[in-house]
Amino acid sequence: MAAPKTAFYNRILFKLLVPVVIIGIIFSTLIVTFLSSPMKDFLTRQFDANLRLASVTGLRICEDSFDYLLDLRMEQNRQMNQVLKNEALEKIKTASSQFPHIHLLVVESGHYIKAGSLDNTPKEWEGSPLEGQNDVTLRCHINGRAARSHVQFFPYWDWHIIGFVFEDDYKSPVRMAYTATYLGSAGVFLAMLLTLVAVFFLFINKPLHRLISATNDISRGRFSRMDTSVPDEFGQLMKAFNSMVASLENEKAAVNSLIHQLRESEALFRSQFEFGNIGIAITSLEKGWIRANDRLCRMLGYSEEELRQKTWSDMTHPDDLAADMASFTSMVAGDIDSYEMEKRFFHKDTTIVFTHLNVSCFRNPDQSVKFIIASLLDITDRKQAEEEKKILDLQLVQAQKMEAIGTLAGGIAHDFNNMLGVISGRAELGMKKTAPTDPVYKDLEQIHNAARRSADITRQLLAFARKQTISPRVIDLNHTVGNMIRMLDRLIGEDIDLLWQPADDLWAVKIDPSQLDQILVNLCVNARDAIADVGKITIETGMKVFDPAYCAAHAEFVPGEFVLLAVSDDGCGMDRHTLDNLFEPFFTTKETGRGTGLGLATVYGIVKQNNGFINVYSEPEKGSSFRIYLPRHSAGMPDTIQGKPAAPMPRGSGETLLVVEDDNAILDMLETMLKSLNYTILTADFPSRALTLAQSHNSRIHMVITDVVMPEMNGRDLAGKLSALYPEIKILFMSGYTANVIAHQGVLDEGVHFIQKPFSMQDMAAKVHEVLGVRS
Amino acid sequence: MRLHAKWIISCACFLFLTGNVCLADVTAAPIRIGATVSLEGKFQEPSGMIQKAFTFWADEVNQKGGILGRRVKLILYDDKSRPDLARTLYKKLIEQDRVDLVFSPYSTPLTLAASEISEQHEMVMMACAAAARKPWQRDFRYLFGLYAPGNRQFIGLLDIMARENHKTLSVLYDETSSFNLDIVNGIHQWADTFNITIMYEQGFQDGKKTLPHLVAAVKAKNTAGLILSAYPPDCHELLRLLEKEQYRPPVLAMPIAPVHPDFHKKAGDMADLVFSTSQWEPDERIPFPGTQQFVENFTKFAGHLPSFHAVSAYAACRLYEQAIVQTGSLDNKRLRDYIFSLDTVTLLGRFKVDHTGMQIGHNPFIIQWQKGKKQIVWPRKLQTAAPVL
Repeated sequence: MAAPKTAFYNRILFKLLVPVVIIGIIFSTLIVTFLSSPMKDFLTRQFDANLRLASVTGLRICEDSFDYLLDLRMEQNRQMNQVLKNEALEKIKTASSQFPHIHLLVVESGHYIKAGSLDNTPKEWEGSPLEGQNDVTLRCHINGRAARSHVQFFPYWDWHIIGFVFEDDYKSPVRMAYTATYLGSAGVFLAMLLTLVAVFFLFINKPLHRLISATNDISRGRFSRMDTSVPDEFGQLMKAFNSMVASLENEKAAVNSLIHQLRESEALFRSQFEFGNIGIAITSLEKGWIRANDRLCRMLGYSEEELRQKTWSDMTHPDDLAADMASFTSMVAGDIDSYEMEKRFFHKDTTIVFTHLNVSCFRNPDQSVKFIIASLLDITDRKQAEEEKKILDLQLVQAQKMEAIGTLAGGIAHDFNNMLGVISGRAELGMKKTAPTDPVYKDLEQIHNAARRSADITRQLLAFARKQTISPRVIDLNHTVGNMIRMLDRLIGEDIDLLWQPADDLWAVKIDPSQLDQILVNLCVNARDAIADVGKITIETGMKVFDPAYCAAHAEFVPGEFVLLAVSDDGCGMDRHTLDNLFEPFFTTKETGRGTGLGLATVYGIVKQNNGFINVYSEPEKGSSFRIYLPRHSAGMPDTIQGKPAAPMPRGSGETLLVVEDDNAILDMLETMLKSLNYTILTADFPSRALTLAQSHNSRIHMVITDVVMPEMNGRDLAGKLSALYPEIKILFMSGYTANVIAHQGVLDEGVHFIQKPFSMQDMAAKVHEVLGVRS
Repeated sequence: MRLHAKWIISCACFLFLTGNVCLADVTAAPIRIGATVSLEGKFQEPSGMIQKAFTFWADEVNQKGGILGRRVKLILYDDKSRPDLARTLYKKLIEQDRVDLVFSPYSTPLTLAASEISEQHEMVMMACAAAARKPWQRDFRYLFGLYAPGNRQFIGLLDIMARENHKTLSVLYDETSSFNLDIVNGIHQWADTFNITIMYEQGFQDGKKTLPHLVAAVKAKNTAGLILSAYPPDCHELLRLLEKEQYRPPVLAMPIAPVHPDFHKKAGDMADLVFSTSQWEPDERIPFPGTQQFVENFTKFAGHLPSFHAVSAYAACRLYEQAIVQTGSLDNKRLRDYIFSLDTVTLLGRFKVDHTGMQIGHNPFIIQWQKGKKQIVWPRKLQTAAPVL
C-alpha cells in the first residue's frame, strides 16, 4: 500500500526551511543592522586610510626628494629644489592612479594648488585653512563638490599634500558595501538554503525516500534490503533497517506458517463447525448468541440472525427447560464444567426437534464465563426410530407373545381338545346309554355340554394358535358375509343397528368360511358388548394395496393386495392398555362370566392363520373399528370377481400439504409418503399446532390432511378454522373408522373428502391428487 | 712529511703574492696606533664608548693576524676632556711614541686640538667623534670626518616640529664647542626653512652655573621646543632642572647624551620623549653590512650595546685597516690619498668626504626615547616609531 502523499507544509524539509528562512531573515536583518554601521565605519576608515595612504604616498615622494637633496647637500640649491619639486609633483599626480576615486593635490603655502590629479584641478585651495593641518582628515569642497580629504604637510617645501575623494565616490563604496551586505547576506543565505536543500535532498531526503519506499515494500510484503555502504548515520540506519527487515521476514515466514497452520486449523474447525453433523452454537452470558453453525440453523429452522433474536428458553420444550436451566446454572456457577442431556427444541415450524445437547463453557482467567459452546446432535430421527422401534418391538413382542401364547394355547388346546373329545364322546355315549329321566342323564348332559363348551374354547384357542383345522376355500367375502347378516343381526340385538356395506368388485380371498363365521361372530359380539344402549355396528368390505413403506412402519402389515373386512361400532371404545392386550387370550374387560377372553384371540389366530393381519382403531367413548386384511386370492376368481388393474401412482408438483395426526407414527409415515410424492409437507400432532403453523406459514397451504378424531378438537372443527384462514384450502379427512361410521355419527358432512386408515400409498397418492383437483 | 712541506710552501707563496706579508713580517713590530681618550671630564661618557671601540677593533684585528702581518698596538692617553692636554699628548704620541697612526679623540674641541698636531706631522686622522664643520675649515689635508656635520644634526627634528605645527623654539648651547655652534647654526638655517621661530637662544660656558637661569627663561618663553646643544653633563643637568621646575616643553632635544644606551637609566623618567640626533643606532633596519655582527660582538665585548660613538670609532678603525690593506703600507700620504678617494659604506653608512675631508656621505637621524626605548623617528624611511610630541 503506497504511502499517501504528504503535503509540503508537513514535510521535514519545509519544517527545516521555515526556521532557517526565518532565522536567515532575522540574521540578515541583524547583520545589515549591526554590520552596516560598523561596515560604514570600516569603509570610512578604510577610505580614510586610503586617503591617508595617498597623501602619505605624496608626502613620501616629497620626503624622498628631500632626502635626495640632503644627501646631495643641495637642499639650498634652488634649481635642484625646483627640479625635484617638479619631479615630485609629477610623481604625486601619477601616484593618485594607485588609489581609485582618490585624487591628490599639492597645495603650496596653504593656498596655491601646485598640481593635482583631477582633470580640472583648481588653481587655488578653497577648502578649510591648511595652516597647522598635518595628518588629519578634513571635509572640503573642490570644484564645488563635497569631498573628504586627508592632509599631509611637507614643511620643507611648505606643501600640503592632500589626498581627497569626492563624497559621491566616497559614498559609493559605502552604498556598495550596503548593497554587498544585503546581497552578500542574501547570497550567503540563499547559498546556505540551497546547500541545505541540496544536502537535505542528497543526504537525507533520498535516503529517507529509499527508506520509505522500502518500508512501503514491506507493507506490500516485499522485503527489500537497503544499501549500507554509506558510512554515516543513514548507513547505520540502513543497517538497522536491514536487520529489522530480516527479522520481519523471519517473523513473516513464521507468521505465514502459523497463519497457514491456523487456516488449516480454522478450515478444519470450520469444516467441522459448519459442515459437521453437529449443530454448534457459541453464546455468551452477555451477548447471547454469538455464532451458530449452519447445521444448527437447519436443525432448528432459523437463520443465524433469527437465532440471535431468540433465547435458549424460547426454543426449549417446556418439559426439558427446568433440567436444562438447572444444569446450566450449575455450570455457570462453576460446579460443573459441562453437562449433557437429551433435550427437545421447537423448530421454527413448531415441530419438536430431539437433540443430544452437550454444553460446555470457556472461562476467563478469573474463572468467569467467557463463552458457552453448545453442541446439538439431532436425534429426532433416532428418537422417531426408537419410538417406532419401540412400537414395533411392542408389536413384535405382542406378536411373539401372541405367538407364544398361541403356541402354548394351541398345544394345550390340542391336548385338551383331545381330552374333551374323550369326555364329550364318553358323555355322549353315556347319554345314549342312559334314560333321559335318569338323574345320571342330566349329569352326563351337563358333562357333554361342558365338554362341548370347552371344545369351543379349545377351538378358539386352536384358532388363536392357528392350529385350527381349516378348509380354506376361495370365497367372495361379500357373498359369505351377506349370508351371515341376518344371523348377526339377531346376534347383536334390536337396539343396535347393523349396517352392511359391501365393496364393489371385491377380490376373492381364500379362507375357511367357518373361520369367517368365527371372526364375524366374535367381532360383532364384542361390538355389541361395547355399546351400552343403542348404537350402530357397521360391517364393510373393501380392497387395499399396501406398499413396503407402509408395511415398514407396521410390523403386522405385509406388502400386497388385501381384501378388507371391517367391523366398527360406536361403543365405549378402548383405551391404550386394552388395545395393547386386546388379542391376548383370556384378556377381557368384561365382568366375570361375561366372556372367556378368547374371542379376539380367536379372531387374531384365524387372521394370522390365513396370512392376514388386523388393525384396531379405537378411542375411548368413540367406538372401535376392527379392520381385517386378508390376502387377495389371485389364482382364480369367479369371473364376476376381477380386481381393477392398479393405476399409476400420481405425484404432486410441490404443493404444500398440512398433515394433522395425533399418532406420531402415522404422522411420520404420512410425511415420508407424501414427500416422496413431491409434496411439501407441514406436520402437526395437535390441532392447535396446526393452526399456529397455518397462521405463521408464509406461503400457500394447498390442502390439509387431518385425522378426524383428535384431542383438543376434532378434524371437522379444525378444518373449519383453517378454511376461515384459507378459503381456498382443500380438506382431506382420514380416520381408522369407516367413512360411514364417521358420516353417520355426524362427524363429517356427507360427501367430504375422506380416506380410511390404513391406506396404502397408492390410496393416499390418488386421494390427494383427487382432492387437489388434478384428475388422473 | 711531503704534504706538510707543500702546505707551508703554498702558504708562503700565497702570502708573498698578496704582497701583504712576508715571513719576516710575522715577527715584525706591531702597528702602533695612538689616540687620547677622555677618561674624565665632560667628554668622558662618549669617549668611553670610543675607547672600547678602539680596543674592540684592535683585538679583532689581532685575532685575525693583524694588518699586513703586523699586530696592532694601541697607545691611548687620557686627555681629561682638555684640548690643551690632547694637543700635548698627540705630540707625544707622534714625536715620542712614534706611532704609526693616530686615532682622533672624542669631540670637536679635542679633535681640533689633536688634528693640529697630526696635520703638522702629516698624519692621517680619522675624526671619529667630531661633528663641527670647523675642523674642516682649516684646509687640513690629513683630517677626515665620519660624522655628518653638526649643522645638519637637527634637520629632522625641525622637520618634525614644522609638520606638527610647533612653530616656536628655544635654543641653549654650550658655546665652548664649535660643535654646538654648528648645531645652532644649523638650527637657525632650518628653522627659517621650516618657518620655525627661535624665540629664545642663549649660549653658556658653565652649564652648571648658568643652566638654572636659562631654564627659567626658557620656561617663561614657553616655546614649543627646547634644544640644548651641549655635552652629556649639561644635558643631564638640564633634565634635572626641568624636572625640578616641573616644566617640559612638547619638544625637548639634546645631542650626544640621549644616544647613550644607558641614558634612560641615568635620566629616569625625564628621559622619556627626549629627542636627539644620532649617526647610527643598533637597529636591524640599519642596512649597512656588518652592523649586526658588530653589535653582537661589541655587546659581548663591552657588555652593553654600542652607541654611534663606538660605531663611529670602529668605522674609523676599519677605514684605517682598509686603507692600510689596500695601500699595503703605512705611508700616511698614501693612506690619505686612498681615503680621499673612498666612496664606500661603513657601519655608519656611506663614507664620502669632500675636498676638505668633511663627511658628506650620510646624514644624521633623529631618535626619541619612548617608554624606555630609543626609537628612530626621522627620517620616515628609517622610522622605528612615530615621533611623540
